Amino acid sequence: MIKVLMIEYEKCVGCRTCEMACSAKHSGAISPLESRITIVKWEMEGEGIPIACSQCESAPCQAICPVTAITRDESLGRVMVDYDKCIGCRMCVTVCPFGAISFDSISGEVIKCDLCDGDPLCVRFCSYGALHYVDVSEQTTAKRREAAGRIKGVTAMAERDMSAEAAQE
Amino acid sequence: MPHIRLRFFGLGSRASGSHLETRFVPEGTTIQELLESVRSSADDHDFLARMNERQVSILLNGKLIRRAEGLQTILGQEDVVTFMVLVTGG
Amino acid sequence: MSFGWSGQILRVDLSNRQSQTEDTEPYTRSFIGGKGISVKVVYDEVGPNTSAFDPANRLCFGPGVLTGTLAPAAGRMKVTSVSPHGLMANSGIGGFIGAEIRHAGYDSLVIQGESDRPVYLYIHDDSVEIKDAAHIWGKGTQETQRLIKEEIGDSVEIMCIGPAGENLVSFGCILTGMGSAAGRHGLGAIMGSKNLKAIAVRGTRPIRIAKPQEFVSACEEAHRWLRESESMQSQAVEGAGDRYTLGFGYDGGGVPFGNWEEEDADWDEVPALGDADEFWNEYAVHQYGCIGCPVNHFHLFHVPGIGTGSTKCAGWGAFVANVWNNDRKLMFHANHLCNHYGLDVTSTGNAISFLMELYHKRIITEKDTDGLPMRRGDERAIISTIHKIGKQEGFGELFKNGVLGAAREIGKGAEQCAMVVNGEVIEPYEVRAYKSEALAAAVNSGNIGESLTFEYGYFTDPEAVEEFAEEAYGTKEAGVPSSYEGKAISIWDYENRILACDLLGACGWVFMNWTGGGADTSSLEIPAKLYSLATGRDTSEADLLLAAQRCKTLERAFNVRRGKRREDDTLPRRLFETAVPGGRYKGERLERARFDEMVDEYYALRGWDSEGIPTPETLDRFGLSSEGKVLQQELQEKGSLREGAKS
Repeated sequence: MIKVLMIEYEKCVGCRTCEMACSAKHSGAISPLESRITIVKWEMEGEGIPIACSQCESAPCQAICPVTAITRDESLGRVMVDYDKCIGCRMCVTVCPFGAISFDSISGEVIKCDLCDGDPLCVRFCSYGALHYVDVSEQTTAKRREAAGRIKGVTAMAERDMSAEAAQE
Repeated sequence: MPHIRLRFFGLGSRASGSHLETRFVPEGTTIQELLESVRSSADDHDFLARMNERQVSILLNGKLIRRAEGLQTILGQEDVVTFMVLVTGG
Repeated sequence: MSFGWSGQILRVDLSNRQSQTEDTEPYTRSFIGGKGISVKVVYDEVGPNTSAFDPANRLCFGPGVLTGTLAPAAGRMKVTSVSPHGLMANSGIGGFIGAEIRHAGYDSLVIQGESDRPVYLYIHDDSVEIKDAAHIWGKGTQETQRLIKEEIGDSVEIMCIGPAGENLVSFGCILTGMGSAAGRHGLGAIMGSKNLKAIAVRGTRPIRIAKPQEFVSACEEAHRWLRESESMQSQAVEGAGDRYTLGFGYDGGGVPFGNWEEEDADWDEVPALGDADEFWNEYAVHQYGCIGCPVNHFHLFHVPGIGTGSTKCAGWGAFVANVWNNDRKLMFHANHLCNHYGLDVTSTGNAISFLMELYHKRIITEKDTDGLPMRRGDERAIISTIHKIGKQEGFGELFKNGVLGAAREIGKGAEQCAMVVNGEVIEPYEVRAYKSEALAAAVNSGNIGESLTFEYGYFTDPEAVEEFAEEAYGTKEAGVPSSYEGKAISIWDYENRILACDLLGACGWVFMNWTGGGADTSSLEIPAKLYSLATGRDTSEADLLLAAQRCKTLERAFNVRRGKRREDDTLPRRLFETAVPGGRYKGERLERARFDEMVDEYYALRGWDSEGIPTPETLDRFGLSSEGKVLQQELQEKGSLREGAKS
């Protein structure tokens, strides 16, 4: 039962609270460069898209690391950096397709989402329902239900109900 | 039996953006009676169940109901009753 | 000085193109941060004879101590300067720019001097560049931001002026993003006078927190508290505020039709409460607002054929009944244009309203407005006027110095129709009926928003409001709009609370004392607690309110040095001489004698003498003795002459 950080992109309003919560937890300061989640904004269109580590099954960052400092922690389904081994070459930063791992020039280390050891703080802070920490199977449940609901709405039973209501008036 | 629509702004578990319900009410039902019925059918988490009545503003067809006389207004066909928490200013 | 504050004040001199930093610490004990620092800087550094457009005028940007931290509803910044009308004035701006300034490493940004050519500032942490702005001068606020991002990258926050500020229109504003603006008091014109088109900021430095774990927990609790607030949910999240507030205002007789006119308006046309539903349902996209806010009370609207933008209560208030219009799309269009030109919506709406009154009374004809009939509610009249004022073309030039300037130029009795206080437009509230707002408008140069009280909620539940009024202010009357009782104290209290928020960058709307009006979030306890945990300085709500009063006193002292006296804390004659023409408060009057009593009471609460001058005892009480000496000395030199007074 692996849980994942699930992002509902349409719900993000771009308030950036998640960024501040993340950096506060990891560094004790409110520090834009030290957040592991970033909201990419199109300010003039009112759009915000959160980018965080996808904890890839076949992580390019893991593959490229010359000193095997990056490994998968299967207990939480997350990709982790071993700072004792990391040499700071930043090849992982280069190969990540999402820009989700970055180099923090303040601490001198590469940083990425570690799911806050199983209780992601960003999820607790998001007031708009854009961030969830759910079982991986849940990612599609809500969408399926919504799609199914639309189908259900035009079934024969629903039509009978509507006629009955109309007749009562 | 008049058919009416209810809308809820910001009221606990019902809230999901001007949440809309429809129902039939017995002829002669007043707004006061509707409010009581809504409150009694609300679950414990619902603000409507726990609220101080005065915290909720009620609109009938877009016009504010004055508590004194307005609550005794009898509901008619296709009336829209809106429940919201009022905050002044912007 | 290592926790909470960023640590430095950035000073930029556009005349010699120098920038330097100053330690924030000395200001913090007495003035905390945000607007507090700005008021102190302006007091110390801008002499009583320095005019608004003089290079020596300071334009101060004061993000608060909580701005850019995890504290909820704390993304605000106050902009302070000497306004084109000659007094210290300020306006609030939100979005993300205040936080970015803090992350660049600055608790305050002070601009002085004047560039010899159009420039914009680019601040990236400790790098401060003054960049050429010839290619963006003349552009609207949206295009300006787009072009700057093309030039220096997307990861910047920008605030800028539009053509209005460039042309020194006295109600030009400073705007960020899609519509959060420091609108009132012509701060955009000050920026324009310095040839400063925009300020772009990128901030990557940390704000260190004294007690990080406790702070994060307290913030989480605070975010949840606001998120679960019924009033915030209803008003902001679900837009009930935007949909209905104006309607409640009209219904309660709190919002005037047109230009506070004397004759009966056609009250059947009172915009029905439900009228905004259609616009909302059709065009609202999603919530929008300031950084770190769980409420995000603004909304984005996308109206095909007009554009995407944000509008809020001030925009609604300016372009609905104010200009005899009930078409919300037209309202949005007007607001959108004001955003483009960088014009204050309140003043622009009033300018149009003023012209409509003059036309209606045949004081002017089409000839005075380039052939455009200024008929009440007319779409062309509204839209064309905004273009003319924004571009300073044709009859738009009449409004360069605001409504009063226009009235003087038009003559023919138009001055009787200029609804201004010290040159500043009064926000559209029916002050003849709502007495606390009359007081607020009078003592704050038309600015009601910084002390708008709960009596506004009276008609939804008179008993509840009266109950709250009694508890908070000792008399039920404080909640009754038409009563003069308890108004001085409620205005005094609201001003203090909002000012306390301004020191922290916290949102006045969320935290001020709306309880009587239905809100369940009013209190400064949580901001005080978060401030204490962030800075390590144990501070209570009472401490914040004290600092706020200190700040208010100093602001007043500055304006006294500029010539402000009691006779300036008043309203246009019409508001004392006429009755409300219709609606719930038909026939209600603002009585001069009772108004004077309210001002007396207010001065007494503030510790000001009968002329509205802070007494030496008051100045001492707030630890402003040395500032007080400056005041005393100038008063002695000038005697009772009112030199350097506002226009």
